Amino acid sequence: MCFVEYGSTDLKNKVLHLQLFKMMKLKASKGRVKITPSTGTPMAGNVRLDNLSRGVHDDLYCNILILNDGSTKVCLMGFDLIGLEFTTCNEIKNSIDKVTDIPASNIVMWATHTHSGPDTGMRMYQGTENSIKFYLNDLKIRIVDGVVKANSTNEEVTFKAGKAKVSDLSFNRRLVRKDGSVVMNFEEFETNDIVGATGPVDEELITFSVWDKDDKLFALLVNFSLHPAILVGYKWLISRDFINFLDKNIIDNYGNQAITLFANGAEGNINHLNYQDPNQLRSFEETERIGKRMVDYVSDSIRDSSVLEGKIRFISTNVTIPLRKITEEEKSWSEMVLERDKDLVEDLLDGIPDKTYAKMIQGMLIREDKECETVLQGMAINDFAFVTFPGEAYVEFGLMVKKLSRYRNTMVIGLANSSAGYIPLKEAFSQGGYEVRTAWSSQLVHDAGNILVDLIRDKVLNNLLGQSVKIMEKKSSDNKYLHKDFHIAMNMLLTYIHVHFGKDSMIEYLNQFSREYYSPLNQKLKSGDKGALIAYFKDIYEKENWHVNISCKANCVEITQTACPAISHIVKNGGKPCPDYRETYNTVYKRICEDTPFEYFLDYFDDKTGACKQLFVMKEVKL
Amino acid sequence: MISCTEFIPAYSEGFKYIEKAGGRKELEKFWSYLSDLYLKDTLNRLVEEDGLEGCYTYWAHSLNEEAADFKMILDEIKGEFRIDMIKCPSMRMLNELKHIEPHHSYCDHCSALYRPVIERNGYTYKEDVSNCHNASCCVTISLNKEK
Repeated sequence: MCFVEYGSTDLKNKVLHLQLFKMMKLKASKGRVKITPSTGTPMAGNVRLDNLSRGVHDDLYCNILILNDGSTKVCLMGFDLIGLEFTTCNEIKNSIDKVTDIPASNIVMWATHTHSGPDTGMRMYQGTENSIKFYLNDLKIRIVDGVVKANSTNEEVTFKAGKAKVSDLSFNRRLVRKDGSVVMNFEEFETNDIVGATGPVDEELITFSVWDKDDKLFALLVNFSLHPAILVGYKWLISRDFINFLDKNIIDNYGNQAITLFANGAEGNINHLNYQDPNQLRSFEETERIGKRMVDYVSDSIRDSSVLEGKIRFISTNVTIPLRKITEEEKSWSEMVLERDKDLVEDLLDGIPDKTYAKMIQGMLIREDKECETVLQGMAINDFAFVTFPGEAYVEFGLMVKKLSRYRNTMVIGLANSSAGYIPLKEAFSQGGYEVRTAWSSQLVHDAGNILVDLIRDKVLNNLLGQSVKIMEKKSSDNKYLHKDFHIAMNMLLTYIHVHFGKDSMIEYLNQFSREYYSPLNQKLKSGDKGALIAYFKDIYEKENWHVNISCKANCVEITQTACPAISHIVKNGGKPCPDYRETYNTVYKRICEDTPFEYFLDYFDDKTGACKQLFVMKEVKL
Repeated sequence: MISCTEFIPAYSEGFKYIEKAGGRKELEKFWSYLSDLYLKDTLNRLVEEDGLEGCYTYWAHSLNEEAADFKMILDEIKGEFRIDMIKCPSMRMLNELKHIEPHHSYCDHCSALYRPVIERNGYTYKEDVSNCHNASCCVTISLNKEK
């Protein structure tokens, strides 16, 4: 390895980086699939009669990152879409499972929630369902193909995670007026009538970065809670919203080999609108401002990053969340509105018109399912983890999960694996506001957030913790003392002495050891006690779980074995017995018999197996 | 045959023999030889493949077979593997053998064997052997964190 090309200041870092590659082999592969819909596709996040896209400002992508630690493979997929239905996710996952070695359960899919993409999750179609169906069918084919291609490559990488504090990009959009009522920050209000927001924001921006052998950024996962709803149909152009400029600036800073996956957090009540700033724009300039600023924080987070080492721990668990029951009041209201607004066109830039709500309530009244089926997933490596939420959770729930997690950097990835809709705080239902109104985008029971936090704690975080932290506590009495590998170490000790000091030294060592260690046995044998000899051999062979024939004759003890337990273990483990290994019999037992009425004879010994016949003969009656 | 249950005193006497023949330097050379050879396909391979979990796998096997009295914690979140050796089976056995004196630096072999393997794989090896004469010690293996 040549270090000459690196400057002296870089040398230490380079050496450290190379040292990391000696550690456990972590691998990754990546891919990017363009998923821009054709012009004319109905756009999401808007309820407009004419919400068909007029063109493309910037392309939409599904970014793919596959992580592999040699035993666990996880595929992460971030889609520039408003949402992904559970069934769509499952179809894609199952197709990938069939054609790759990635199990369906280890595929994590989420939507970035751009409001300037096709309407894949809101179900606010106005006779445009077929266009979306066509788009989704085509999407499935392209995504599976993209994963297959990505999975065919593999690079050795290092993982890092870090975080930065973001204080100026996200705002809680539920504002409190002086009279205590709640108004959304995209609705009309007098600024001086606002006393603050109903809740906090999540100031953590977390990055999980993947670095190649040359220490170049291979891929980046950015997690931050913020609605990509800056454009919301602006000029009716398809766009990734601020993620477009986030991605572009990451490429400018780190090179175009890097792919960036943006994963939204618990952004249910979080957007970019600062109610104290009346000059905020709805424009591509605003997405650029936010995207660029976010990259500053991404860089801070990367600087804060530390290397992640260890196994990939992963869990995927299917859960169900009860659906909200449509009340009689909601039913009557929807009937009234449909009659009242029968001639009205559904057309609203921000929020949802009453008529659309009413239509959705009617649709929900006839649904057969009573529960929302979804999947919760989590991954951990070292002090980094992520967990998923199936919809748009209020930021408070994300913060709760982070508080419950022992992992230093815990991402909460929202809008993952299904479109379960908004997950508001229970108290928000009495406050009112956009997210709590019953719709396809707000369909779960009022305490769904708490149910999900409990499920994430019990089924995801605790499971990951159980995989990440293992404790074993044993008393000596819990086990039988038998460590056969000591035969291998003993053989190495003998070999070392034999090679470095010669055969005589090895015999000298065996004599020294035997004289010291077997002195109590030697003392017993001095009285001619054959019983002591037999008891000793029975004991050691019993402990070795090894069969030998020990026969006590009138004037001798005879021991025969078809193989030596030590040699057998050495050979079984690919080793070779030390030359003159037989001396562990011959020298040792002669020394045991020294100054006793016994004389030791190694009648025969097979050096390969240790099969032998040994005789301990009373001296006065030599055979 | 020297039974595997008799290995510890044979090992301790081996240290004495080698040290007498070639001094401390020779003994350390032997430990280094043993570390390279004995741990190559066991601890070294496990750490290479599984990181700290490899340490857990290795010592879970050996300490159970040696009937040690221990507590072992693998904490991947902290990036740490720790063994609290409450009663080391080797040192306990040597202490119990009243007719044989353990090698004066018997416990040094652990660090000499394990530290190179651990550090070679990019981890740090720390030990507290202040109570090792009572067959008690503590070893902590951690990630060598690069900022």
